[in-house]
Amino acid sequence: MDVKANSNPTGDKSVVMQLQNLNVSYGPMRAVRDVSLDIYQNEITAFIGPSGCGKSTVIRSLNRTNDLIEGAKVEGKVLYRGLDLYAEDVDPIEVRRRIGMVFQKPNPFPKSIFDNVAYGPRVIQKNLSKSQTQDIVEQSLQRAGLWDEVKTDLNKNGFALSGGQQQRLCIARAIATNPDVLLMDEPCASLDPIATSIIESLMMDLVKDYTVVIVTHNMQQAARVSDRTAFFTAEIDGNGERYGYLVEIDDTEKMFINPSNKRTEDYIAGRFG
Amino acid sequence: MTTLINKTNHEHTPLALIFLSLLWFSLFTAATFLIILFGSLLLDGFSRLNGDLFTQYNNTVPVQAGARAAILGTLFVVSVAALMTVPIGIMAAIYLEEFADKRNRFNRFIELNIQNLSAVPAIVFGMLTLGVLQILGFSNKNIVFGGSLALALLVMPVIILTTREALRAVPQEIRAGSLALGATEIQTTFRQTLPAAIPSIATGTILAISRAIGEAAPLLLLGALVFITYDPNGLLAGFTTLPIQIFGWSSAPQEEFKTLAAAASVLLLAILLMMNGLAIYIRNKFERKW
Amino acid sequence: MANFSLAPTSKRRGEKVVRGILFSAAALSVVVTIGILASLLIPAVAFLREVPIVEFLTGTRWAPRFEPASFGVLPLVVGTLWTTVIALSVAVPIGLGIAIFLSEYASRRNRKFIKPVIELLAGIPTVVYGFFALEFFTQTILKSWLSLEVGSFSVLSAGFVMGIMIVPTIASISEDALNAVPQGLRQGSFALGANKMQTTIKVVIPAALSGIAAAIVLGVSRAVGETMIVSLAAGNRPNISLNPLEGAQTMTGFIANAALGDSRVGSVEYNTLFAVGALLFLLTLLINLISIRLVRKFRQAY
Repeated sequence: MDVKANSNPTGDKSVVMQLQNLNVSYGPMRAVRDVSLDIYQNEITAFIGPSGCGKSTVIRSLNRTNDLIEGAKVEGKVLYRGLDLYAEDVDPIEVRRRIGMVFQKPNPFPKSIFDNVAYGPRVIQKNLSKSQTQDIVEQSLQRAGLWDEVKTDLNKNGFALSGGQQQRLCIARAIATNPDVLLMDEPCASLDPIATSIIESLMMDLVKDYTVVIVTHNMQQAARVSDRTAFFTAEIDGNGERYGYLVEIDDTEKMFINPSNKRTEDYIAGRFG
Repeated sequence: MTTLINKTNHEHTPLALIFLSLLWFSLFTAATFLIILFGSLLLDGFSRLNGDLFTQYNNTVPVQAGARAAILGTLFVVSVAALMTVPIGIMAAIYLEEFADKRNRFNRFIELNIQNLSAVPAIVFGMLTLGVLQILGFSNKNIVFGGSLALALLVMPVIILTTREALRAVPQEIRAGSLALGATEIQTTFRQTLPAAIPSIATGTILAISRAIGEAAPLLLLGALVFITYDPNGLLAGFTTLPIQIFGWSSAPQEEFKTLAAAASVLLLAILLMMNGLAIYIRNKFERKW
Repeated sequence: MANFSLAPTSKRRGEKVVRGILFSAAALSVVVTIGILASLLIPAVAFLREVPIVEFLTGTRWAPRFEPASFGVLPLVVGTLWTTVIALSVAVPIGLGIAIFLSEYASRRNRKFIKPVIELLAGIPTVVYGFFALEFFTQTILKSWLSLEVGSFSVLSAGFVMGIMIVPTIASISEDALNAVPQGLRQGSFALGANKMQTTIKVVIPAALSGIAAAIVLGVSRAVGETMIVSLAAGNRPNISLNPLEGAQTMTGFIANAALGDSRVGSVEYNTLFAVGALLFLLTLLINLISIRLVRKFRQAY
């Protein structure tokens, strides 16, 4: 994947993912309507907004995990480096191998720490040698800032770790497959403030190598870590149906200091949501 | 204040007390029955609970009779049945729980069908097996293969249902985590979901096999109530099993045979209790609370 | 433009084969049902060619081995009905009582102790129940303790013991149904000043009714299909009698008993077995479908 070269002398940022008029429906319900936005390389893009605004639905369409929800239907385009992820010949499995995901609740597998991290590489590459696997596991745990804490007991069950450690294990697991983009759906929602700040600094470190998209409930977190922020909200249409949509997306600094939309301003000022 | 003081009286009206004692009575009846059943069998059969029960073949002379052929027959027939039914049952459950599109009519029909099969009278599986043996051209219906087939078909729905429950108990996040790493659905199932469910599946399977061990009705139809004085030695050999032997001895007129039936019942219950204990042990030791 | 592809890297043929195998395993259950239908109905139809269906279903004398033979299945149906009614009148109150106790009254610790004991009842082989009914229940309890005029075989003994056998079925499904009733309903009733008994009887049980009904219906299915207890303790004499102290033969009892004899494949006598078997299967099929529907209803409700 040579496209991932980062240095960009002109200052132009390269677009990694692009949503064009995205609509997601669950059964007859059009839950998310008409979202268009760009996600840039080696940036953290944060999705914020009140609950039910569709931000999680949108992030799930970025690596086709929406497919796993029965009755979910995606319309519009989700482009990844120019390829439409929902095109007919696209294999969602290939997509997920390039676009990794970390979930709201840490979800380690009921296996050893080592096997948790080695799982991705093992399923992708059939005949991985033992030393290769060991290298990947060590590098990934290093990268996720967990190595020093667990290097002596890699055979311990992933469940035995604390919540924050579990989430870093899940991050290590996600980067072990060497993805291009890392999606994080409220990764700190179930963590205490200390664990949260560790994950936040980890994100700011990971963005040097990866493109990161994060959904968060916590505006301060978006302000602290992200380069760009997308603000979503929900509204009720003429038929009484509730739907989410994108209000605006801009540089985080601008969004928080001088948002162009009144609704964003109100939300950030804490007047609703 | 009065209402607060009356609170206990309010719960302890005569009617409420009668109601509660009726509930206790129902529990008491069930427990007493259990104790009397175990106690009477033990008392009746005690004199014949010795090595002869295991080493002697059946005999027309009650004092020389034992259950050797029946014990070995049970072991053999049930093992073969388990080999036939456990893999198929687990695979069927995996399909229904992990892959089947629930909106598809045929899949829904399969589900309904399995629910019904789990409640079909045991004896019907004996009649089915008679039909199958006839089609396969076996002239002898009392063969190990037939007995195993009948028991396998009988417990398969049970295995499917308990395996499905075990798979359902594995949290969705495990599957999502695996799929998000780019694993296929098959990889996810066989490397994550199924291994995580194995302890519960094992528990359910052991209980299903216990049911096969104790079942007699379908085997009766295959003519397993026969006098066998040799160890079953092949899939086409004649056989009898412990429950059938108990049935045979219970219907015999001589009192000594009834004693033997009681002794064999105690043995059968002991085997089943051990299986149950094993199932509970596995459940407590390995089952994961998610 | 992109210099990579997101098309599948391989066809994953192996995975398709695995899926096919898994599907076949599930579809096998349908083959089993077809097999049951075929193996019962083919001889049953042959039987009905010799014995008119009206005579079979309405005749009151069952004597397939006598000369002249008579094929009225009613005595067997009555025998089945008798044992089932007795079993249910034991199993429903006791099973329901245990279910209510476990879901509404028992502490967590009590439940942990009581449930395995009840499950033990479910694990006892029916042949052992049958032996117990024949030897102990009839001889000791009915004859010696209660001094009832009872022979070796009685419908009462078989039915009662079968009732105990069904207790776990009714208790566990009813308990599920009771547990599924939302806590809010109970709290609402308590808030109106009802005590626990009133809440249980007037709010919880009505809310769980379809589940309890499913439990009872499934209990009926088990009672109708049970073979070993009735063939040991109820005897082998077809009998239309209203006296529960007499013996009688049930449909399953007949099948088991006839199978012990050596009737030639294809003979009327042999086919009789399957005619009764087909009747038994269709009857339990109907009962099971009702029970499955009821269970779905209470699963959907909450």
